[in-house]
Amino acid sequence: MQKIPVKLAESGMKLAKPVTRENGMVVLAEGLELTESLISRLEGMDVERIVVQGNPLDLGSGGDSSWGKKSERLDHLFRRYNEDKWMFRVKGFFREYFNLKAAAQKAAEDAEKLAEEEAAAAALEAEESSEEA
Amino acid sequence: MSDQDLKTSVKGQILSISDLPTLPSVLDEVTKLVDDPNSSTEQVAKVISKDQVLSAKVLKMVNSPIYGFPGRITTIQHALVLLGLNVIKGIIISTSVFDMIQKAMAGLWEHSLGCALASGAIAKAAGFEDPEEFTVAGLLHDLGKVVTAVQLPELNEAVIMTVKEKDLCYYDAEKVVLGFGHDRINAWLARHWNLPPNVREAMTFHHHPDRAQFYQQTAAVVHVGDFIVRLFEYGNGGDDHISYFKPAAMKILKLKMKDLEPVMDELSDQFVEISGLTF
Repeated sequence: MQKIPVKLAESGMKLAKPVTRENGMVVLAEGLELTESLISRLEGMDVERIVVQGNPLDLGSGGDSSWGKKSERLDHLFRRYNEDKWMFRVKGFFREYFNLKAAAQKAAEDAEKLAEEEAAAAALEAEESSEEA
Repeated sequence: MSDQDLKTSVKGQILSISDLPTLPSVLDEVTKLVDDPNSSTEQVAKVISKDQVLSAKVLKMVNSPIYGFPGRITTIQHALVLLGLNVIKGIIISTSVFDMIQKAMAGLWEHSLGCALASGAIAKAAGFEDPEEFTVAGLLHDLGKVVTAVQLPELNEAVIMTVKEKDLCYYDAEKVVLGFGHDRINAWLARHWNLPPNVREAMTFHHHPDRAQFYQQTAAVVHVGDFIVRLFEYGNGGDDHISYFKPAAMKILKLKMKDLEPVMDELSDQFVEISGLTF
């Protein structure tokens, strides 16, 4: 998931966290798919940022939660300790963790994509069969 | 001027400064009340509540995911009872000091918030009581960097240049330019602001938790918190290096590397949630 400014929100993105007011009241529920009218409503409510599923925008560092990228960054972060055996082991431990997470993240995304495609295919089939009838 | 003279003079400059960043006058009053055995939480809450901007900041912080209380805390009195004065005092100091330089050091603010969050989570994983005390220690762990930037902007620039030119971490660059690191400045600030000894030792020894005298656990929690927030590259501590991960820290916490996995699972979501939080 990724936290993005409402200004950059697009219809079709799905909320990964509910949108709440200052007092904690939920305005939009988690999992909701954004539409143009919902986005303009959010702007009207002075909501600045929302958390959406996946990593739809390239915002540089910070809001990104991609595990694959974290694994790639390890060599850079640890570059001062290339000669240190203990830090080498530490790096290996976290690389394994990040890679496992990245694999799980990818599997979840693929499963969701597959489910969406299947749902679309089923809808199309239903439409066709109703036309036939 | 020789190197040695320069170091001594820089040290003198920082350590002799009397006009430290002005903290809200409320803090003086609160400290006085706390020293008085006859005062009550009610009185302390009343003093803090007089400053509305400050109260709003404190309430925003205690209600943020960083402290993660399930209900909504609506009064300073309630916050004081739940979190204790030491935590509230730490929040007042950190938000006030960062206020002076929030825009210029937005990355360090995020790094500090991230370290606060991570420290609380690690303390819970280690089974320590009152995780809020660890959270506030994480929040304050780099305050020395902010104060250097406010008080000695030219030397701070020199540290930043050294980080870039020599590809050093901020801590090592400080030692090159100033002759000592922000941990030393932290120790002095913590005494100046009369912070409790657990927070003071964590601020002073977060790079070397095994050197802490009485509160190695707090120092070790912040040490690991700082490491994890750098690993996730949440915010910016002044450089893009990982901090050295001291094996002694995990020994002090009686944790195995594997125990950090659920902590990181939880943190990765929370980092996204708190990003962009301002006070």
